[in-house]
Amino acid sequence: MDAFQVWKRLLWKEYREGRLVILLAAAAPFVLFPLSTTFPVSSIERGMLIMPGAVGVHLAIAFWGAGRGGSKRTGSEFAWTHLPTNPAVEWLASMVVPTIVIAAMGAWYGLAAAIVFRLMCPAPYLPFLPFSQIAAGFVGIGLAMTMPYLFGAACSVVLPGVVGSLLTMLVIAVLTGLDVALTLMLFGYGPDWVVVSALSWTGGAIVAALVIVRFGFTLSVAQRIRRYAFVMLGCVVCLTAAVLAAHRPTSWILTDYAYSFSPDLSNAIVLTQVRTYSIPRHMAQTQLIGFQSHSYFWRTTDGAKRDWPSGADLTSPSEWLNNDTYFDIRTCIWEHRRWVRPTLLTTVRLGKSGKLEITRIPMGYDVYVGSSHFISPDGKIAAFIAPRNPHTPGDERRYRFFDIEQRKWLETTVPCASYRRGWWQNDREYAWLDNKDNLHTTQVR
Amino acid sequence: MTNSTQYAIETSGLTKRYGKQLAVDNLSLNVPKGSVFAFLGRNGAGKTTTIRILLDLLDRTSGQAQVLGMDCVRDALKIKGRIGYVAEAQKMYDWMKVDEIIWFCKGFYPTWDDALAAELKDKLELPGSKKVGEMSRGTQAKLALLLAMAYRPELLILDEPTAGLDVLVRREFLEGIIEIIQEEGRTVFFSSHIVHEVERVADWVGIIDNGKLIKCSTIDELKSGVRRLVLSFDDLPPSFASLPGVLQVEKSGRQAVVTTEAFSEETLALARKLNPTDVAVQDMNLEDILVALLGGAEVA
Repeated sequence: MDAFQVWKRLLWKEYREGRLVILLAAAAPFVLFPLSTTFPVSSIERGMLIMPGAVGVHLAIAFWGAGRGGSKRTGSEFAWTHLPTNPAVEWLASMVVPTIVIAAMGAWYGLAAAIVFRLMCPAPYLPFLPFSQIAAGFVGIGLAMTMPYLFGAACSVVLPGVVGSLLTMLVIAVLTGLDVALTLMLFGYGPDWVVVSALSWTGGAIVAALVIVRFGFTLSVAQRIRRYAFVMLGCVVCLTAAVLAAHRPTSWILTDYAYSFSPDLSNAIVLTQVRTYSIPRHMAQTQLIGFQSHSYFWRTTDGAKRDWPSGADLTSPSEWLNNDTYFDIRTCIWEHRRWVRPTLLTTVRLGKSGKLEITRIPMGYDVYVGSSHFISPDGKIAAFIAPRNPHTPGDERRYRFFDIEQRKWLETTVPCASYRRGWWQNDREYAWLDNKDNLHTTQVR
Repeated sequence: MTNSTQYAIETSGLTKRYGKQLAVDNLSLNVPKGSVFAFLGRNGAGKTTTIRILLDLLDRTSGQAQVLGMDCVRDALKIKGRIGYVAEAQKMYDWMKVDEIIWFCKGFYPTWDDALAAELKDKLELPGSKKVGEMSRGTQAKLALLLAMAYRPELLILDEPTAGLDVLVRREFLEGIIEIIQEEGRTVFFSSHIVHEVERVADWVGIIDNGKLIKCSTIDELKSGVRRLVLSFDDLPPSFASLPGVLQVEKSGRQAVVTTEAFSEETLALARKLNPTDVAVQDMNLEDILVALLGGAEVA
């Protein structure tokens, strides 16, 4: 017997039997895309929203695999009962195709997200998007998709059918628990969102399990695939509709942000959601028409047409320098550790022509802004907090000053006490308190 | 076990137990090579269980079973490569087309004969581009037969291959087997409960009931051994305890019909000693023999 011929036929059979599922799996990233475009490949935060869907898909296929394992054991498979091939080979072949599909789907998903991010990424951010990060996301998401499936496949060997699926769930729960523990331990995140993240992952898996247990388990492969296809089709349609509905074009002023409005209230930073997914930022001319308690009543007078693509970043402290210039510090979130987080200084000015003039200045990886009031009154110098030695993270910090016009760091540094923030006395002088509340002032230039 | 080269299938003390229920009870069966062996019995008698054990689709509880001289568990894969198997209501891949399933199966058998497959496809009038699931049960059974025969297996095992088929299709199917088997001189082991059709095809027969083999011989031997004596008397018929191998006795007035499984001239002589006014010996067809044997077994 020619092993190549046997494998060729078994894999062909598995592909033909599972191609509907394969197509649906490959289509899943398109459904998840709307949420993926504003998150970097390795981001965990956005993953809270996106990955449960992906987990649902690949776990569903894992359960499908478990169900298949069960049907093979009943002897209902022609190949198993008739053909002179080792059942282990046949089982392996039945697992190979979905495994490749899951891995490819994960990799495709990671790659697609990276490509979209790369296309949407404003030029100044590109230095923060090295190939290694894309590759890490590519491999990481592929593995994240593949591993649960393999666990599912392994479990289906031990216990086929529903019990195998339950075992899969148990394994996933244990892994999620480990993930939470490690994240808390290594990265020092507060437990709140880590637990929420874990719950959302597990929740996605449970929903998928319920759907598949309800609809997926029959002894007939064809029937199972047909049912599964309808369920998936329903998910695709509903998810797409939900995403489109949730991302209706709209705009609003983030009144929670201290500096959404310019000092004279004639301008505001407006978040406008356009198309189905991207959230560019705009500067709009506004007219404040009322104020009550903590709510502003406002309207834009120019339609908020000035596009200010924000890319994938976190908003850090920002401030209006005067009525037409807005300073904003962005930090890319490729890395969550403070001192390796790349930072971008952005200034946005509403020019006389009515167009936005935007400058972006990469600040490197070892600075951050501790609070607002980081721009000197004349808008020429920005105060950043930096470690005394970037290679030994800790509380030994100092203020460093960046000349925005010259785009260079000044020689002057100022000690930075814990829980104390400095402020600009005037255009040249920076004031700060030491740990004993003694006031100091330093001539920056 | 005897010389394994003599027999295509050989079991010794084969037993399969489901909890307290005995599905196959100490079965010792020898299927000669080159024979067309009919494995008969009621539904649930243990035919399919025996076949599934022979194919290693079921574990045996005890005993031994050899197929083509090989142990049915240890050499299961080798056996599958040298035998053809058609199950009752054969499940195949509904989504495959006839040509596709032929291509699919071909890769598993080094002895696959394309010319024979084409010939069988032609002879059995199988539509190459039609999906399996869209075909009638009869056509599916023919396809299963093609798939089981195209690699020229030394032994063909058919488990109720014609169950559920209409009379014409059954005949066509069995004639297809006969024609091919006669050309090839291979062994066929098939189970059925449609006995009158088996009679046209088989030369050996094994009868199983409640998991026990109650008869195993050539059809000619069986037919010459199991006969019906119609005896007429002047008075009420006497007891027939002196006759050997009595399976059934039906008395009606002064007449008695005695079915014996050990008919010989000696049986006839013993019957005449009972002073009947008339003795007639009737041949029986296989179906009647089976009814007599199974009925007798129940009585016993």
